[in-house]
Amino acid sequence: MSRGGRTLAVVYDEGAASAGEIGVGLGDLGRVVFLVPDTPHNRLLRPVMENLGDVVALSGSSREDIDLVRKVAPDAVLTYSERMIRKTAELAEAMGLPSHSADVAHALTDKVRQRRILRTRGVDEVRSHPLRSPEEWPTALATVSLPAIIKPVQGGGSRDTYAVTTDAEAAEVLALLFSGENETGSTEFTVEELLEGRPSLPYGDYVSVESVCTEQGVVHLAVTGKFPLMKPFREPGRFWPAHVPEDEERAILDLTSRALQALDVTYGLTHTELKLTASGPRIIEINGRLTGHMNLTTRSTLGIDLVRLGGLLALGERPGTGPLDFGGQVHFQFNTMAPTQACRLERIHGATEVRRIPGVVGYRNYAKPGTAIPGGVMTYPLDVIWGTCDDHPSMIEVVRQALQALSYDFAFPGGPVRRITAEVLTNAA
Amino acid sequence: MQNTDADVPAAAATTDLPATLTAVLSEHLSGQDVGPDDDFYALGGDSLIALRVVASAQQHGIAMTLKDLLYYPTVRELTEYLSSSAAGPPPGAAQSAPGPADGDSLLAAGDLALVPTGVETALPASTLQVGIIYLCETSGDPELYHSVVGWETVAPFDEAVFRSALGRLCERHAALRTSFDLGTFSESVQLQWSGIELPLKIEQLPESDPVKARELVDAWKEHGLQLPLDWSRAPLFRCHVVAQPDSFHIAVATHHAVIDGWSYGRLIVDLLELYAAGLKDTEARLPELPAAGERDFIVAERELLASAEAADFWHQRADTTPLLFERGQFGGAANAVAKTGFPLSPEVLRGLRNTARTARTSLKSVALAAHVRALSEWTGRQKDLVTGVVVNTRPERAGSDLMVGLYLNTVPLRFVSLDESWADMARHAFDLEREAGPYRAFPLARIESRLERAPFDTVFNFMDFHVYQDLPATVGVETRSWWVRGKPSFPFRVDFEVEGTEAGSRVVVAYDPALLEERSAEQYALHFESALADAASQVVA
Repeated sequence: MSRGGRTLAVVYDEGAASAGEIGVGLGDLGRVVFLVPDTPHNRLLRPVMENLGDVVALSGSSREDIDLVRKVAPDAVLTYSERMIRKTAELAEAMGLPSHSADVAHALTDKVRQRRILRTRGVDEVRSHPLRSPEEWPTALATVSLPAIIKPVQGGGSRDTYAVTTDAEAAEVLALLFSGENETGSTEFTVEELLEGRPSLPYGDYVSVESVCTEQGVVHLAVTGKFPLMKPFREPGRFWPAHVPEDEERAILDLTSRALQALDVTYGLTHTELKLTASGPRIIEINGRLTGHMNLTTRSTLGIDLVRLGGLLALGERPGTGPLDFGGQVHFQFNTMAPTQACRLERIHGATEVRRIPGVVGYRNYAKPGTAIPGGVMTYPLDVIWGTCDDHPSMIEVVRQALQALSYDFAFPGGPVRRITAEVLTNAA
Repeated sequence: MQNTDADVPAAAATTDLPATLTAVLSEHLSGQDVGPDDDFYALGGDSLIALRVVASAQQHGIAMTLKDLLYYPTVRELTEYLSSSAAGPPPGAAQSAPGPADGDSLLAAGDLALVPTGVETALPASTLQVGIIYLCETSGDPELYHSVVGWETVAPFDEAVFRSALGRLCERHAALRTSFDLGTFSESVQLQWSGIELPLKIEQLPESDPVKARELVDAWKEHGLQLPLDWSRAPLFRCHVVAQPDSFHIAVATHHAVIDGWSYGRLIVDLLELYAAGLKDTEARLPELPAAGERDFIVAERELLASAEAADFWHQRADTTPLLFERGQFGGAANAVAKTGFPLSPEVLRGLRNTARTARTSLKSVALAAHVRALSEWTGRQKDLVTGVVVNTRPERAGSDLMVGLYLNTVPLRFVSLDESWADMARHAFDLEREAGPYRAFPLARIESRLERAPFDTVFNFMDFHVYQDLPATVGVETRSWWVRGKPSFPFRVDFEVEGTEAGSRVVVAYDPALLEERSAEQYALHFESALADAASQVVA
């Protein structure tokens, strides 16, 4: 199955593509070697990776890891995981292989730096200020003003991200973030102006753009529409194509191109999030990797494997790619979010019924019965429901039916087992 | 559902592939109805569930891999693919209907009655285990097949925590609770006891004294090797600790009949993981072991033993004129106490890797090709030469790398043509090993008895210590000063060690001075060294 005996080294951790998707997506491009830091996720998935390729443990030390990769002698070094972007750039650069440069990787993963570049290059003037201790809050506040958003300098998945509209709220959030017990373990944050979305219900007031960058320029694969955010910043779902007017779409794509150029991104897949405001789209953040989740949809319904596309780019190939063709249909994914209170998942009801709803293609539960739910406002999807509909209104209706059909039993500490429908979990925000 | 499945014989399963696949998928997807076009993922499947599906399918005699299921996620696609692919059954996959889950049932009913109380599981011993014990008995050499591994752990020593970690380790790995009985039963049996007394000796130094600590370790190293392990009494290992205030040396001596060299890494990681968790008073997160791993190995070995195809395969691979020794000149265990060898420079290793890469094969295959070329030059044999090669016999299933036991074999590989280019030789070596894959666990003793002599006079053992070295770092406890001692029974063994813990990369040639002169062994080493240099400098087309 492997072509030309090439080796693709994937720096792997939990991220936008699973080990299984990577094995399948890269399988016909060559031998896959998973380079893995020691994380609980990697320990769990190791048997899967071993069935799909070779597994090599990373030490965390630059010198040792570069030596290690030299021994693997790969033809490509790539990642699908936000956390591994810098490491991947370092390893690929040491091997002289295509990747983000170290500088670009830094700008893509450090939100303070990213904002500064976008600002100084005149792309987007979102006010922001770094925050390394609660004492810096007054200065940050003076620069940014309320309402503001506080988020880690590095990281993804909206973890440890909060909107604050009053000083009292800010005090509460700062106490939590600097308590040493936040969810990401971050110690450096950034305060940014809270971008106010334009009216957009029943859809979300933000979108993302999935792009392919090469030295020849940027090609946008798609604008991804979103379901409305759940508080504080949990993303419950996404769909293609986005539900935006043509001129707004042009502005979205134009801003994304300028932002990617400003950051000197000339390699790989990118995922750019933008807020839709009354005065036009604004950059939320740019990620130097494949978008999460959507490969499931492109592979099964469009026959396009984005993981494979990432592999080709890392091999230095120039795959002919243009905007994705959705065949006049709307493709969606929706995640039911776990309760914000700690509990244990006991049972799942209605999976079969959900799968029978016309328009639903599949339902997959991530959390199995017996799973301890940690609680908190981190994005914690219980499942994914995906499907294909004729238009946007019928998608909204299919999702509504699915959320009504699906329910979960949770055991809360000291209380009885409660059954909660996916609809209630989704509206809890 | 499960009972019905277990009753389906393999022949029936493969003639009704879609029905079997449907049943297996349904079983692992909470009993849901699975239609021919239902997508595995859409029904809630994920890659960990996929591993279980593949293991079940293999037990039903369906030759499929994880990749197959992930590529072809519906019963229809998978059936079409599997029916059209000429792939043979996966190595180690049971070919007939699996027996009852109870491990004891591999023994005859009369034998079952003889299993002593306190034994958790009784299984037939593998042929290789019996062979090793037999050689140990007949040689009278206490060091034979007796290995010791040691290292220093940079952490404070807490005796209670360490005892508990070692106890948990023994609970986890039945090999550490195993003894053998070669007489009581109608066949040789391995007994896995439910509990054992921990064979732990601790020496505490009141203050840090690295020199003294080292002396104590060295003394035990000699003693540990020479003190025989009685295979009839569990446990077949012992552990020694020399503790200083901030670090401690651990040495573990084991009988090769229960633990192979490749299991050491796993054992050590598990032990350190348990100890590190104990120090922090948290639960160690050890990955789940495959259920009935050793039992599956025995079942697969029995099937291979019953296979005329496997026996013929190996007979043909070994049946040529012996390379070094006359028939009868060597039998039983040799005493390979003499050593020679040479270091492998980074340049040569890099060159060999390049050759491997351009030839699209592995470093092992290039090194093996160079070994064969060296044998040819050394002995003057122009064609048709057999060498033994150490191979891994772990079942191909999820988590088999986590198993601790004896899952190694040494098999004859026969090179008919010896004047090919390096690239062809290396690819040839690779292909030979791959062709042998399905039969690789076939007991050496059987090949030998049909051939009426040793199937090979030389053994090539490729050892890449890299992963082994990295393993301890994964648990967050620093380790250093590693060493390993051991002694197998072959008269002429070539170890190709990559990044060894003690001496870096090198070649060690161990031989029996009663059978080979020092000058002769050194000549081989010179030939091997120049063959490697030549292979390393190749630019392969």
